[in-house]
Formats: sequence, C-alpha cells, structure tokens
Amino acid sequence: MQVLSWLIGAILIQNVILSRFFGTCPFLGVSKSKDSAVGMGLAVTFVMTMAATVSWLLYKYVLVAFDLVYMKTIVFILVIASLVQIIEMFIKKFSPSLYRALGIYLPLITTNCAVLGLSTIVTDGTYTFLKAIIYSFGSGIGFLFIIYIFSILRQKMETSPIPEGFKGIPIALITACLMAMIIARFAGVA
Amino acid sequence: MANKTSLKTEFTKGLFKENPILVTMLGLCPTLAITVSLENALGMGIAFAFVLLMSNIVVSLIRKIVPSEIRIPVYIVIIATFVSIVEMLMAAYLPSLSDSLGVFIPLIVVNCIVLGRAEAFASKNGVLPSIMDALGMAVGYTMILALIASIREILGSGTLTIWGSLVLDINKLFGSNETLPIFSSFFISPAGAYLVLGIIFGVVATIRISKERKQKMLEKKAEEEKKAKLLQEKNNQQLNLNKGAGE
Amino acid sequence: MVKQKAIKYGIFLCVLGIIVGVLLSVVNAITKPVIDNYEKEKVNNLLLDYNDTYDWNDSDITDSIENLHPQILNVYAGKLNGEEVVRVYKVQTTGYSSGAIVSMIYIENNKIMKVSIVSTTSQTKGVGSKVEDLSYLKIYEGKSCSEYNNDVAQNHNNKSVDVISGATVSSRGVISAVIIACTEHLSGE
Repeated sequence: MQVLSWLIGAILIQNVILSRFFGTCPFLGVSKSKDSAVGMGLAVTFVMTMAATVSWLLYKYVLVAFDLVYMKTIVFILVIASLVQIIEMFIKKFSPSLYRALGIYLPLITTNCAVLGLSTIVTDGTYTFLKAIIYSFGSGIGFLFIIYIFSILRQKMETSPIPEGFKGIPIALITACLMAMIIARFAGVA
Repeated sequence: MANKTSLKTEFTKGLFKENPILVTMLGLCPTLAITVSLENALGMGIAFAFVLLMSNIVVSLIRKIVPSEIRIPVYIVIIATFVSIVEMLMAAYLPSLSDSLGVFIPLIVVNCIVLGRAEAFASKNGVLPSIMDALGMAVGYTMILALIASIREILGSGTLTIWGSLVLDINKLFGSNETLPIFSSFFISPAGAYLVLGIIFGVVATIRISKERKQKMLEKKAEEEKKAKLLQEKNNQQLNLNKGAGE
Repeated sequence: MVKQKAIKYGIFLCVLGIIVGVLLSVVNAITKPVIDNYEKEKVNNLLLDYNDTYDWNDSDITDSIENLHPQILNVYAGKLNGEEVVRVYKVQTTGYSSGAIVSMIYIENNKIMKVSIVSTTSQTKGVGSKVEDLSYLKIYEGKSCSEYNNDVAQNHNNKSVDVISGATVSSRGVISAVIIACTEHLSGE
C-alpha cells in the first residue's frame, strides 16, 4: 500500500545521502567505525523524525495560520537545536557509555543538512501528516543503512592498496559514486 | 602598515591555504547538489557570500556582549536570520535561480563553513578582519563550486550556462541542436557528483603530498650539506693543529 | 548567581528575538508583494496564452469551491459571453529530489485541453526539467478526464506509458497533478 511505497521511496530511491546529498559531512566523518556509524544513524533517525513531525505541526498550525511563513527557517532550526540538546541530556543521564562514544557527534546533528532538509521538504504543502512522519522516518533509516554499509567498506579499504593521495576522503567519495549508481537503478520502482 | 598586510592575508588565506572546501572539507552537501550548472554555482556563491559576510560582521560587532554559554544558539539565530532574508530577496528578485537552488538556500544555515567562521574567527576578531575573512572564504568557496560545476556541466550536457541566457553551447559549435553523444548525463547525476568531487580531492591531495615530499627532500639535502660542511671544517681544524704540532 | 545569569541570558535572547522578528517582517513586507505579483503575472500569461479570447477577469474561483483537494492551489474559470467554458486547475505535486512541481491543467467539457508547467523546483536541469518540454505535455491533450479519475488511474498502475524514461519521478509528479485535477473536476459535476 501507499505507506510501503513511501518507505521504499525514502530509504532507497530518494536516499538522503546518495541522491539528495544531505548528510555528507557526517557520512564521511563518522563512518570510520561500525559502532559510531550505527549510533550516529540511530540518533539522526530519531531527531529527523521528531523534528520533521514537530516542524510540520508548527508550520501548519502556527506559521501558516498567523501568516508567519517567512519565519520558517528560524523556527525549524530552533526546533532541531532544542531537540538535540534534549537528546544529549537524555543520553548523558541514561547511558554514559553511549554518550562517551558519540561525544562530539551529537551537537553535529544540528548542522546535519539532512534534518533541516527533511523539515523543509515535508512542509512544502504536498505532504499529509502521516506521509511526513513515515517519509522522515524512512529517510533516517536510509541514512543509517548507507552509513553502516559505508563503514564496513571503509574498514576493508584500510587494508587495500590505494594511491597515497586518494586515501581517506577521495576514495570514500568514489565509493559513494558507485553506491549512488546502484541506488539510481531503483528509480523506476515505487 | 602591519595592519594592512595582515588584512590582505585574511583575505587570501580563504582562497588557497585555508580554502573551505579543499582543505577543511566542510559544506560538502551543496557542493555536490548545486554544481549541475555554472549559473547555479555562481548564484549559490552570491547567497553564501551575503550570509557569511553579514553574519561575520554582526557576530564580530556583538562579540563582547554575547554571554559565552549561549553564543552558539545566538550565532545560529543570526545566521538563520540572514538566510531567511536571502531566501526572500531571491524569491522576489531572482525567482528562476531561487527555483533551481530550491531547498539548498535555507540549508546555508547549517553550512558548517558559516558557523565555523563565526565561531573560530569573527567571535575573536575585529570587524574589518572579519569582513576580509568572510570575503576570502566566500571567493574561495565560489571558485571551487564554479570549477566543479563547469566540469560537470560541460561533460554532462555540453553547455556552460554563465547567467540566464548567457550560455556557451558547445553542441551548437559543432552544429548540433541536440546534446552530442560524448557528453553523458552521468555527470549531472548524483553518482557523477561524487566521482568528480572524489577525483578533484584525490588530485589536490596527491599534489599536496608530492609538494610536502619535495619540501622534505630539500630540507634533508640542506641538512646533509650542512653536516658535510661542519665535518669539513672539523677536518681542516684538525689538519691545522697537526701542522702546528708538526713544526 | 545562577538566577541572575539565567535572567541576563533571557533578556539577551528576547531582545535578539525582537530585533530578528522586526527585521524579517520588514523584509517580508517588501518582498511578498513582488513575489505575489510575479506569480499572478505568470499565471495570467499562461491563461492568456491558452486562449486570449476568453474572459479571464476575476477568474479565480478557488474560494467558492468546497472541499477542495489540499494540493490544488487555485481554480480559474474562463468565460465566454458570461458563461464558463473552461476550468483551469493549478496543482502542486512532488517531483524529484525534494522539489515541487506546479502545473496547470485546462479542462473543457471533461476533456483535458492542455497541461502546462508553472514552475519546477530543484528538478535536475536537463533531465527532470524535461517535463517542461512541450512535446511531453502534448500527450495529455484531448484525453478524457475519466481516464485520469482517481479510481481508474490506480488500476492502470500509474499510467506507466506517460512516463519519460530517466525522468520517472518528475513525470510522475505531472501525472499525479493531472489525476488530482481530473478527479476534482469530475467530483464537482
């Protein structure tokens, strides 16, 4: 049914990293180890879903209602910054080990293009509330999926013969190119 | 005099030594998405320059009265304000560019370069250096965007759209109204973006590494020459002493 | 001490908020009329382009229709000799890569006379923006509305024959718009 096509669309076809280009910085920065990749992916999924939902509600019932649409960028980014703060406090309290592992990556979610990008996309007027939630959740899962696969690939690349200048970021980008080509094949599906 | 030279350095460092994309690799999201046409890259460059310049100025002006604990949220609000202004101005006066850039205009808010310069530089320096810093970074950023966009657009569709109807159509030069088959739309697709960026970074890194190697070799050579000279001098001294003793 | 700090921060943030709010509302007041005007002119040009003998004055009847589909932005009624002959639906749908496509569907006597694109946001230049190609949009002309009625269209698997290869998602956006317009039109009869 429709929900399934929205999910597949969000996870595969319009994948946040490989076809929308959001979240490239953490994608290249955090994917060195599997654990931090998964942790980051889960945190981003959570923040993304919540932020998109709250933004959608605020947009419809506050911004549009009071004719303040021009404030949307500020409102959205403040929602995201607050959510990240709350989650940080939450994780610090309930799982200090996870907090230490994710450390500096948590505040970086605020500057993750994916979260603000999704909030802006779901408030463009063609998304119902349900579609907004499902789509943003799916996008987060798509992010997690790709960043996880990438972390595995990068660990393998550490032991491969790569020319000196291409080690690290350049070869990572070229690998991303190959992954993007595979994802693009799905475009006709949902 | 010293002030003037340092202002110039603040500007030029943004072009090559501390180029935001090539060296610090920040703000890659728009770099990959926007660079499908030169026009887009230039338009984004303008919007980016405006936001970076204005936010650097404001952050520098209020740097002494902002309480340290809340400075990051304050900087974000300031940057978001200027982004909103750019959004509105572009929608009104450059509507086709605003449509092409789409969601990436509001995303300037989360562009690490803007927040990075505000935190690392504007909050610790005066207004004039901050202006130079912003301009340098903006020009450096736009340069690289333009480079990538030109490569992708030419290889992808055989055209070079400089602004609006000012288009250099290579296909037409060869007498064809359609895109010639040597130009593949692969370069316009997301995969092409990653490939071009990866290759550019790889080339830059290779150049940088070979430069460092050369530098190291020169230094090593200089040190060895120095050592040889010292050894020679020592030997000469010894010879003189022996001579003196012999007589 | 902590309370004093909190108050100091609070005041600072409030003042900042007020300055930001005022600044933005001023810029908005300046730019909104320009944007609205530009939109109106664009739409007007498209309507006149379709048929300049029809009377398009006061043609915006959006507010007079109940239960309008949320994605239909405007409905225009073109008149000839005081009688309504054509209804134009301005619909917003999702295209490729986070962009919206706004299209106009012109319907006369339950037949699609024309489809035109008002604006596309973020569609891949040269690929997705192919939907703006006149030759693509022509395939809709003359088709009966009932072909694009919601229930029928679902059964035909999203009308795969109307999709441009390589610009699947963008052209789906247009198909979607046509379906929404036709469904609304038929339900209003």
